[in-house]
This record gives sequence, structure tokens and C-alpha cells, in this order.
Amino acid sequence: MPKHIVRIIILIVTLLTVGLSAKAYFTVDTFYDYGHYRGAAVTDIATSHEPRYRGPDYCKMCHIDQHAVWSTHGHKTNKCEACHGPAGQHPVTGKLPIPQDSVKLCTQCHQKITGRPAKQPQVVPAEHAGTMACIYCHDPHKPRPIRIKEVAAK
Amino acid sequence: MDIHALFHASPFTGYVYPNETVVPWSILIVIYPYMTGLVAGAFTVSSLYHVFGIERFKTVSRFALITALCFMVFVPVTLLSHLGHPERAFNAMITPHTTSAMAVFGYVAAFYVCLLALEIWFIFREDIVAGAKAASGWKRHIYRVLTLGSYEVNETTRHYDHKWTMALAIIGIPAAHGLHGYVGFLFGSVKAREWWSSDLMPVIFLFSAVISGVAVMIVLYAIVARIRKMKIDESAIKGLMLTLWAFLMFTVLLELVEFGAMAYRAREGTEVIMEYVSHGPMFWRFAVIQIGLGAFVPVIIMSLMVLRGTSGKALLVGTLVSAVLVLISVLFMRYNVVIGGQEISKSMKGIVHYEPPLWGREGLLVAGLILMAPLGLYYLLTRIFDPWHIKTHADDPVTY
Amino acid sequence: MSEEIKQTDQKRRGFLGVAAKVAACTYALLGTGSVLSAVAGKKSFPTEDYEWTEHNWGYAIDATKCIGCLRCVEACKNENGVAKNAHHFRTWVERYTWIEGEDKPRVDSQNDPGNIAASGSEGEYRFDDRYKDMKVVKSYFVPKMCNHCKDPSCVQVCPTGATFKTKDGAVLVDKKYCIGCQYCVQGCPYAARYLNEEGQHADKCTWCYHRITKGMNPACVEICPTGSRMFGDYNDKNSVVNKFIRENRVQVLKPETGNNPTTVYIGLDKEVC
Ligand code: HEC
Ligand code: HEC
Ligand code: HEC
Ligand code: HEC
Repeated sequence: MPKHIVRIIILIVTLLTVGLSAKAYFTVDTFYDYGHYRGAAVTDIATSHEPRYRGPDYCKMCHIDQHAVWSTHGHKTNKCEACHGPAGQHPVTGKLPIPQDSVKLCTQCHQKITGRPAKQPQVVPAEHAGTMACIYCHDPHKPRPIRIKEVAAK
Repeated sequence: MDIHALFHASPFTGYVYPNETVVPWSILIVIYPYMTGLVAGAFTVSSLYHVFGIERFKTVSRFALITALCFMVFVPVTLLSHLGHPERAFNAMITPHTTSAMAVFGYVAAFYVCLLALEIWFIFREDIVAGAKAASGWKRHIYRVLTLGSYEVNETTRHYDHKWTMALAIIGIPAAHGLHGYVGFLFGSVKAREWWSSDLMPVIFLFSAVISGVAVMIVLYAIVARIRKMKIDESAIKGLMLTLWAFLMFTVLLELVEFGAMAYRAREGTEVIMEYVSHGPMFWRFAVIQIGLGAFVPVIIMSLMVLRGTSGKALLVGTLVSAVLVLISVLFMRYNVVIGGQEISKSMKGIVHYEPPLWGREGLLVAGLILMAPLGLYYLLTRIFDPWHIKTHADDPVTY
Repeated sequence: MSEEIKQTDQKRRGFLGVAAKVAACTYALLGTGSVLSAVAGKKSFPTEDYEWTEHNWGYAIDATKCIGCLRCVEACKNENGVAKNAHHFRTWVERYTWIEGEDKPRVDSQNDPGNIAASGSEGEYRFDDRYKDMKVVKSYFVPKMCNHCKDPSCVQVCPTGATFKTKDGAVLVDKKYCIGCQYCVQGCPYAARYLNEEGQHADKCTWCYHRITKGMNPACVEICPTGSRMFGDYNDKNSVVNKFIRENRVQVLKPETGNNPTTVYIGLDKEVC
């Protein structure tokens, strides 16, 4: 066989070997451990960050009063964090916001719009409350029975 | 950083899923099958001489090979510049996921580039050895490395070179066409998209690849002949024209059959597609440019030329015009497949309106540059490999 | 190759393996590990107090209960740091409305310009009342998200193995391994995936994997005020999903794709896509 043929074959074989060893060398840790993926990725994702929504039971530890009222009235399925936002590391990281614009807040779930099932209590805000804030007559933690907010004078 | 500066959100009509308002595959992915198509087509031209022994393609056979290599080198560039993490691209080769149509691409493409390079090496070996002896300056060094230290040229080496060339050319045919049919499969296998998921997709891709490759050979041949002040080989042009003509008719037929079948089957949501094709921007892109101007007009021009036995300057002009039209048609076909498929929402209830941006990584400018880059490489490669100098035995076609 | 991912190092690996076994045995002997891992003599995976082979999660959606308040969308974005714009959602809610005299429903979601106008910004979510002056035959909301299919087409098309199905049923993305080709984005029939523009990798719903492995519900389920969204373990006979399937005639979205979605619905018409 001519020299150049031998050499080109050697070249091809060398390249192949280099390629295959590179493939083996660069295969990352824990790949193939559980399937065609990096096993460590599952742990990475499971521990990626602390949950930000903590649930009402968490709030209960400190805001016993609000929780007691809330859990025995009409909004008990409506979680604290739907209105107050995710707790995260609260109270370490600071107070949670108290929703200021209660019309904006309450109409998210109570404005009468097409598509909302009839079972959901709904109002037409302008007719129902005029320009008044909802929390003037409804305690957000105890929407029924209605109240006249005593702190309104504050 | 303003997150909105990072992507191009498209407006929509009807109902599209919220995540679909950003079109994932942009103009770069249009260029990708276009370029692989040119490769497959150009390779076909060279095989017509090397494997099938059609003499009239002898003049352009080397030229076709070099062109194929130039385009092939830049095919991965389109993909790499599209990836979110190009530096991780090798992950697909280190741990290829065998169920993925895309995983094998790295291997198929690498294999094909090596095959092309090898074939070119064998065909040009005598030139290389001659160059290593005669050339001067930097060229001499390149030639010397390319000889792999063996200057031997005699009957035995010729025999071996010829055999290897043949073998590579023969493997090359399924490889080049497999590579491209497989690009079609990449789209055709996406069951989530009605516009893509079709069994005909690989075949259509293949045929349009061949016509675009032949067309690009015609255009480049004419240009290079102009620049180098060479006489154009009329028999080669005629041969290319006939090939283009035959394959073009097939392609049009396939495209119409595919579209017709989808319209006739009329599965749920097809009315959205029909609306899209008959009224939206797709009417211009698909019906007018891709099919009308880009396919029917060249078929008519070429049929007339064949009927009248046109020759000389008229033949060259007619062929050139047809070739340019076909190139445009195939580019639009890629666009209509890649972008069109993403414009039709998976909800089958709405259309996303995508306008390719001019600037940016996924813009028209970058796509144009990548598409033109092979010409630069061609210029460099032909300094070393002269495609118009055909005398060695390695070039000879198979003798049956 | 990302630097964060360690290269194979046989020696270190071997040593660590031994160390892990020793640690696991000690752990088991001390009696703190679960019985199962004590018997197997190895640590639980993927975290210390969660063994994925013991679970088979599932998601159920009762579309008749959804009030379209979109707290789930907000909670999902907050919980998982999803970009607050109108183009990237791990979960979303659609509204189907049949108008008198029209044979097809009109559909809108929170990313619709009208709904963005009603909420005031792309970072807040609210449905407007666009149909109030029309004769509405019927209208309802449908929460949508990744269906965590049994045979996910996104995993099938991923070229690298950067997305995969876990043993407890979730379809996850390894953001350190993903090359960002977006083939999976194309491959998902539900359009539940998107490109994370910041990290340039594919992203999707994880069922809040960092929560469920700690015994919590996904954020969207946690926040849902009507119980329209439910999450539970198919391995547990009394779980909410098993109960839901027993008590209702459920359906899945796009069954024709062969993806075998594990998320079950009730209260849909065939027009729901
Ligand atoms: C570890 C105890 C603790 C827990 C648990 C806790 N909080 Fe608080 N919260 C506090 C403290 C302390 C304050 C600050 C009171 C102050 O500064 O007046 C506070 C303040 C607040 C405020 C603002 C009250 C105001 O008057 O400004 C809100 C709203 C609130 N918390 C909501 C919640 C919710 C909702 C949860 C559950 C997700 C929760 N908290 C859980 C301790 C807690
Ligand atoms: C429907 C929305 C909503 C829900 C659910 C809700 N809150 Fe509130 N919360 C409010 C509003 C609105 C205010 C402000 C009331 C006001 O100004 O009178 C408030 C005020 C508070 C305050 C400030 C002190 C006070 O009582 O005025 C605390 C603390 C608090 N909420 C905790 C909770 C906790 C804990 C829960 C869950 C157990 C909860 N909230 C559930 C809307 C809500
Ligand atoms: C996240 C959604 C949500 C928000 C925000 C919300 N609610 Fe509700 N609310 C509900 C749901 C759900 C119910 C029905 C619970 C049921 O059917 O058991 C309800 C029930 C009610 C009821 C009827 C209670 C009863 O006992 O029948 C009133 C009144 C009410 N809400 C007022 C308010 C007011 C005022 C606000 C604003 C401070 C508000 N809601 C904010 C979800 C919400
Ligand atoms: C002027 C006082 C007042 C204001 C302000 C007010 N409401 Fe009411 N709301 C009432 C009364 C009275 C009822 C009837 C209570 C009952 O039936 O027990 C009621 C009932 C409701 C109900 C229950 C309806 C049903 O069908 O069960 C909802 C929901 C409600 N209000 C929401 C709101 C919202 C949202 C706002 C703010 C836009 C608001 N309210 C403001 C007085 C008020």
C-alpha cells in the first residue's frame, strides 16, 4: 500500500480515538446515573431556592388574631399570600405590604366579568360601592357580616 | 437590563398561546437548511460525473466539490450563532440523546465534512504533490503539510487514489442526501406543529436541496467564469439546466401534493392554515414567490428552451434567470417552512406575525453574512486547490 | 462546557462513593433515615429527606371552579422568578367565550393586549370585561400549564439530555447543561416551554420541584382560592388527585399527540385546545 494511504488511515484512526476519548473525558459527573441526564441536576433543582409562598399555617405562628378570624370566615380558602404577596423570609426581611387599593384587590376576584362561574360572589363595583373602598364595609379577613370601618376616621 | 431589548416579541391575531409570541427559531434556522441544501445539491452535481460518469459535468465536477465543502463548513455556524449557549454545543456530541433528531446532527455533519475533505484531498493529491515541489512561499508550506510527507506519484498511487475517490463519492451520495433528508425529518417529526409534521417533509427537503444546489452551481459558474475570463462550457450548462428542469418539476409536484393533501384532509384547525395561506403574508411568500415566480416561471422558461433547442447566449441567459429564480424560490420555501410553521399557533386558533429584524444576532444582516461567508472561503480554498485544472486520474468516473 | 459542572474524576469519585456509603450506614444505624433507605443502605435521592421513587405526582384541574383571578400566574412568577412580561409563562389561564350567533369560541388569555390594559402593566394579571355588551352563550376559564406527560415529546427531542423525566413524574430542565437550541420549545404541543432570556436556556414549569420535595404544594395550587387546581401523589390512594379521578370523568388535553399527559381536567369542551 502506498505511504500516503497508510498515513491517512493512521490520521483518521488517531482523530477517531482522540474524539472518543474526548467524549469519555468530557462526560460530566452523575450523567447516566439515573437515565440520560445529569443526576445532580435533580438535586440542584430540588434545592434551587427556598419556597417563597409559605402558606397560612406559617402566618398562624405569629398573626394568631388575623388567622383566627380569617380561618373561620368566608375567605378561609383565600390564602393570606394572595392578598399580601409572598412571605419569603418575612418577618426577617421586613413587613409584608398591606394592600392599599382595596378596590383593585377585591375586584380581582369579585368583579362581575364574563367567564366567572355563578358560584363565585360577584358585584359590579361602581353600583355596589360607588367610589367607596371595599374595606370600608368589608373586613378583608372576615368579609361577612359587613362592618363600618371604625378606623376610617383615623 | 431591560429584558425587552433581548428578544423580538411578535404581534398576533386570533388566539396564540402566550409563550408563542416569541418565535423560537429565527432567520438563522432558515439559512441552515438552505445551506445544507446547497451542499447536497452541489455534491450531486459532482457525483453525476464522478459516480455516474456523465461527461458533460467534468468541467464543473471539482468546482462543485469545493463549493460543497465551502458551504458545509458554514452550516454549523448558523446553528451555533443561534444557540443560547454555543459554548455548550458539544454536549450534544458528548452525550447524544438518541431519541432526538437533532443529537445525531453533530455526528452526521462531522462525518460529512471529513468525507468531503478526504475526497477533495484524494482528487487533488497529484496537484498537491506538484505544488509541494514547485510552489513557493506560504503555499509551499501548506502543500507540504497536505502531502503528509509522501511525494509518491505513480501508477499504483493513481490506482489507489482513484479507488478511494470512488468509494468516498459513492458513500457521499447517501451521506449528502441523508444529511439533508434528515434536516427535513428534523422538522417533519415535530408532531406539535401541523405545518411541519408531514411524512413528505424529508423528500421535499431533499428535492428542493438538489434544485437549489444545481442552481447555485449555475450561478457561481457564470460568475466565476466572468471573473476569470474563462469560456463557459455550454454542454455543462445545458446538462445543469436539464438536471434543474427535471428535479424542479418533481419538487413542485411534491410541494403541491403535500399542501393539497393537508387541505384535503382538512383536520381540525386547517381552516386557520387556509386563511393564512390565502390572505396573510403567506399568500405572497408561498403562492406568489415560492410556487409562482420561483417554480412555475423557471419550469416554463426551461421547457421552452428544451423544446426549441435553445443554445449559445440565449441558453446561458435563460438558464441563469431560471437558476436565480429557483434559488429565491428555495430560500422562500425554507422561510415558509421554518417561520411559517411557527407563525401558525399550536392552538390552531391564531397566527403570530413574525418580521425578521435587521440587526442583532438573529437579524437579517448576520444571516446574510453567514450566507455569503462560503464565497470568501471559496476564494481562499481555490488559492490552494485549483478546481479548473482537471487532468489527474483520480477525477475519472467509475468505469462499469 | 460549564465550569460549574465537575468533570469525571475516577479517583475522587471512588473515594466519595466509599465516604457516602459510610455516611449512609452511620445515618441508617442512628435510625434517623427512613426505613427504606436503611434497608437499601444508601442515602435518599435527590435530597436528604426526600426519596423520589416513593412518589408519583399528578396534577388535576377542575375548570368549572376557576374564577380567572390569575393569582396562580402571579404566584408562579413570584415563586420561580419568571420574567414579568407578557411572553413567558409557566402557567396561564385562558377564557373561552361563545357569543350568540358565532360557531367558534373566542379565546383570550392574560397576555392579550386588552387584558394587559385592564391590569395596568405586563407584570400584573387580570381579565377585562370585554364581552359585557355582547350576548354570551357561555364562558369559562381554563388554567393551563405543563402537563408533565408520561411520554413527553420535549424530552424526546432534546439533543443533549438537558431535559428529562424524573422518577417521581416531573419533567425538568437542567439549566447548566441546556445548550439553548429550543427544539423542545418547538416540540411541546402545549407551548408550555419558553426560552429563559436571562439564562439563555429552555425553561418550564417544574411543579415547583423545590416545594414538592419539601412536602409542600406547588405555588399555584397553594394560592388557588377555589380549589380549582389540585396536586397529589398517585401512589397514595387517598390523595386529592386519586379522589378526583375516582369521583369524576376526567379528560386530558390533546390526547392525539400520544404524549400521555398526566394532568387531568374536568369541565372542558372539545374546542379547548
Ligand atoms: C415569625 C413570626 C411571623 C410570621 C410567621 C409572619 N409574620 Fe407577619 N409580621 C411579623 C412581625 C414581627 C411583623 C411586624 C409588625 C410590626 O412591625 O408592626 C409582621 C408584619 C406583618 C404585616 C404588616 C402589618 C402591619 O401592621 O404593618 C403583614 C401584612 C404581615 N405581617 C403578614 C403576614 C403573613 C401574610 C404571614 C404568613 C405568610 C406572616 N405575616 C407571617 C411576624 C410574622
Ligand atoms: C382578601 C385579601 C386578604 C387576605 C386573604 C388576608 N388579608 Fe390580611 N389584610 C388585607 C387587607 C386589605 C388588610 C388591610 C386592612 C385594613 O386596612 O383594614 C389586611 C391587613 C392585615 C394585617 C395588618 C393588621 C390588620 O389586621 O389590619 C395583618 C397582620 C394581616 N392582614 C395578616 C393576614 C394573615 C395572617 C392572613 C391569612 C391568615 C391574611 N392577612 C389574609 C387583606 C387580606
Ligand atoms: C384571590 C381572590 C379573592 C380576593 C382578592 C378577594 N376575595 Fe372575597 N372571596 C373569594 C372567594 C373564592 C370567595 C368565596 C369563598 C366560598 O365560596 O367559599 C370569596 C368570598 C367573599 C365574600 C362572601 C363571603 C361569604 O361569607 O359568603 C365577600 C363578601 C368577599 N369575598 C369580599 C371580598 C372583599 C371585600 C375583598 C377585598 C378585600 C375580597 N373579597 C378579596 C376570593 C377572593
Ligand atoms: C357601603 C358598604 C359596602 C361597600 C363599600 C362594599 N360593599 Fe360589598 N356588600 C355590602 C353589603 C351590605 C353586602 C350584602 C351583605 C350580605 O348579604 O350579607 C355586600 C356583599 C358583597 C359581596 C357578596 C355578594 C354576594 O352575592 O354574596 C361581595 C362579593 C362584595 N360585597 C364585594 C364588595 C367589593 C369587591 C367591594 C369593593 C368594590 C365592596 N363589596 C364594597 C356593602 C358594601
